[in-house]
Amino acid sequence: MRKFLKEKQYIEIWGDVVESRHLLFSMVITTITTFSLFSFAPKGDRPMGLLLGLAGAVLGFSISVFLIKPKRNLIVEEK
Amino acid sequence: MDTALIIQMLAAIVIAAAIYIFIGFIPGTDETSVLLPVTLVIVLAQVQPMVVLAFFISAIVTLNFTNAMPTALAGLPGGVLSSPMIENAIHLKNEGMAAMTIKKMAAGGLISIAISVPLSLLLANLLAPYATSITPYARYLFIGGAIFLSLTSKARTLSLLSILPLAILFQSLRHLYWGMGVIPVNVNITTSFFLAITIGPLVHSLFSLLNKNAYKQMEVANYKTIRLNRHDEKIKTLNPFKILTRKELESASLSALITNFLFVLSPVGLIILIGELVAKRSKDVTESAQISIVAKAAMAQSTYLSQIIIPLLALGIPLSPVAIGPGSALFNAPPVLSLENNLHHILTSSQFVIVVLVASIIAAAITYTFISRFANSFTNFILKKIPHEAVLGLFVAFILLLAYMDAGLINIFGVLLIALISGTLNKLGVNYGVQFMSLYAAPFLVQYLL
Repeated sequence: MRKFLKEKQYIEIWGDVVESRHLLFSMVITTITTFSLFSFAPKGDRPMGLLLGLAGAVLGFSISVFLIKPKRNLIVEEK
Repeated sequence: MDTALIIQMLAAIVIAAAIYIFIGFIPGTDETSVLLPVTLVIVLAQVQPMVVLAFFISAIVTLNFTNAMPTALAGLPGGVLSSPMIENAIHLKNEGMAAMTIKKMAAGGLISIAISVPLSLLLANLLAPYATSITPYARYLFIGGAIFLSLTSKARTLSLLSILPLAILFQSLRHLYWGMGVIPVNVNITTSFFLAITIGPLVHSLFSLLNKNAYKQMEVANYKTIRLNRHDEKIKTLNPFKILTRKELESASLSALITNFLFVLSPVGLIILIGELVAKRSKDVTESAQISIVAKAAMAQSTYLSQIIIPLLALGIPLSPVAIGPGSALFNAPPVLSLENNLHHILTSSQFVIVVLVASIIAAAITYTFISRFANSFTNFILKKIPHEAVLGLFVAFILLLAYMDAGLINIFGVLLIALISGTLNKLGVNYGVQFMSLYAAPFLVQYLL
């Protein structure tokens, strides 16, 4: 686990490459934003809870998109 | 139908197309995870049933078109249904035919929609008079489905053997929650269990990262290299009959036709099964890959459309994998919809037919035009901007949220348990179809064990 956090390591998961620390960051931040917004919904109001939760998830996703660079080398081949 | 309702419906169709064009282009966005939560929000917000249906139909049509794009252009599966297409897609891409492949896949999808929408409406109509006599046997259909899908899968014995343990897993969690008073007795948790199965392989992979040996196997030295072919501008037409060869056209139409009748079987299972059959129509490797991928793209549309239209219009119970999974919010979304009072009961047949026709036509027109023109540049944009980490983070947050909303903190770990077991079984060869069918047959199956 310590090694996981200290060094830059690329792993292939679900068909694409990620960096371990970035993956952990994205999962943590998106979970935090999701549940933070969810907690604003009145208790028992399922639709509002779900809506705010989804909004939180999209927020976390956007933060990750903004901060993390995709681990892809794009080569565009001219034909 | 008043003007306000029509405007709402059209807005729903366009919004769904816009959202799912974007999502579809992102590799690895699993269909159920992106369709179910959004549909659930709309249903629970008490949006008009016709508008909900319009949104959903537009969403699935759009998603199944656009999921093919990262698949053909980058060799990354757009969704679960695209995974059987990867092999063909990579072969065609290496031949420098990616741009052509996109157009062919889109054309196949379009043909399939033209066949599937009227055909499934017709089948639903034929089936509707027997609804009351079919419904009591639904439980046997689920059990039969689990067995049939096991028998047609590659891991036959393993799949058969896993049905009962899975059923016990699901029921034991439900009974635990009932016994502890977490949820009222006879409220059946399904949504989060379903997503747990869907996300199982991902959870399995994530947990493998914590194991030193498994971690080493997943480690790679560098970024993933993805080659994109520049647009070959050979085909300028949008006419699907000119884009497809005769064999492709026949295979796509026939596959779409057959899968409509097999609406109780898992889409991925059908795509693999029939996709391999039509591939044999040509000895030439490249031609065979093209025929196969076009038929698979066609079946992505036909399975989703028939599997939502037939059960919803004819029966009102979720009697197909799509109805059980991504479309389940249209059948059961307490407190707004229930199995006794859902879109089937609320909408008249004519309302249903109109909405399905309008939504599928508009969504197909928007998406088909979009991908015919912008597929390359948009894929390029998505691959440059959207990191895989963000997508995985989004899924994890989704599943945690839905697990928590279904039955609180304890269910987060319950869902984790299911995901670990499902994911392990999945890696061993027990496909989603068998697992979903087991989930739905679970309440009846355990009774037989007494």
